[in-house]
Amino acid sequence: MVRRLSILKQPIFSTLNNHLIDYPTPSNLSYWWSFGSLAGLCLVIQIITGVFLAMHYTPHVDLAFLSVEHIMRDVKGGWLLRYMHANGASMFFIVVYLHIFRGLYYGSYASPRELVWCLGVVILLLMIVTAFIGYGKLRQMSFWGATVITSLASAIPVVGDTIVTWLWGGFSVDNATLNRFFSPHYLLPFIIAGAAILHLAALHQYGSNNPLGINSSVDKIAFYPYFYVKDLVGWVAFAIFFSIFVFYAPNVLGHPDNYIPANPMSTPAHIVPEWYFLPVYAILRSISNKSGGVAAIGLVFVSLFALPFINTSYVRSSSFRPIHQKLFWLLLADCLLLGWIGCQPVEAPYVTIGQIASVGFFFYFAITPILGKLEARLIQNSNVCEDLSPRKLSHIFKNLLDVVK
Amino acid sequence: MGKTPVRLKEVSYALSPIHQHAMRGLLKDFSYKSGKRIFDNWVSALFLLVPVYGSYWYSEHYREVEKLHHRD
Repeated sequence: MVRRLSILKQPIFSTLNNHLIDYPTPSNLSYWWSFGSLAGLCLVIQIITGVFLAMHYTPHVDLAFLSVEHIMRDVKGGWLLRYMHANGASMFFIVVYLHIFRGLYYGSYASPRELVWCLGVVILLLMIVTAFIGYGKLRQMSFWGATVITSLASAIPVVGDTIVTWLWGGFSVDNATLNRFFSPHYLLPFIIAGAAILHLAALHQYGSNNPLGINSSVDKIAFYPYFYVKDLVGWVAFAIFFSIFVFYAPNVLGHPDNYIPANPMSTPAHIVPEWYFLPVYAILRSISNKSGGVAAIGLVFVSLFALPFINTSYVRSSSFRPIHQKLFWLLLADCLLLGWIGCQPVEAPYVTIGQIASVGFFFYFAITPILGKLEARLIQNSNVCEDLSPRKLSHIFKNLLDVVK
Repeated sequence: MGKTPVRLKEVSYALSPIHQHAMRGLLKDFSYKSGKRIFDNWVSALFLLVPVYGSYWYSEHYREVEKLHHRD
């Protein structure tokens, strides 16, 4: 009688219980699996600080810059809200990039979690759009950055210029642009929250991956309290890292030109976006043709979407894929290089390095279909397994599971 | 909840964390564990660090050569 009346068995609470409390989780998850919940925390921080900032911000060309100064100087705690929101965006991207690279290393994108990966890429795209339109338009660097990036839409054949005019709401970045960017900047985080719920639902279809990359049904423990506590450790470590930036170095991740009001008559010598856009910006600039650069950016996200479907490896985790492991570290080095190149001027030798790094980035995705088969062939040739067909492999793993049980 | 029903394992402790000395093994053989981690992963570290540092070194070298070339 008591168990039937338990609150955890009632509607809504039973869903929460099944997905957040008694949810079966692999027992061997490392701290690399804490970045998912951290990303959720970052989203909540951004929404809360953003809502409170929006109570004092004025999205008008004559008042926007001054309203931010008003928030910083006059509003009680306004400086904290503003610095938390600005640095929170950087933290959000750090956490999400680490989450993505964890997924790449441990093969979390592989079957049957393709939908989880694709929804994650959708969330990344939404985050990029939200961060771009929320960057503000009435500061020197944000004004010119917005002008450059929105102008890219003119690369679209036939309707490009019309789209740019529609985006701007006029013939340049001005008051209309500010308003039509601020409105979706308020809306999109809630769309991201919805996408995150779908991302979690897709994950819970088959359960989390684990560092070994094998089926973990034989050894699962409840999410609460074990991974609730583990995630809490991650949250505290994140809070310390975040606080260092908010309280001791709030402007180090930004650009000093953003303390100058936007001047359409004065172009900065080097226009650079925020640090989290630099790798994609480097790929864009590595192709001298505008349409080519825009196509390259599109190709980046197409490659990310396609990754689960072009993967041919039977093994998930890079712990057991020595060639892929090396390629992973090369990809990480490549992304760091692209980020560095993105903030350098467009001159030698940065142009050449950027072009080589851009090719290197796409090389990882181009070699993925071949790599799985190559590694399988190498295992076959080492006489570990005569035949590595999926049927044979599933038979081997089933026998392994029976032995473990 | 997933498509396959899964039996959860119970992890239970007879002693409190304080009596278990849960953190005791954290720094035990720390030098050995660190050395082993470096020894096992030095190749991967090379694949990460060499392209990054190599490109930085090359760009600095290129700029130095260009500066000296313009002085001649």
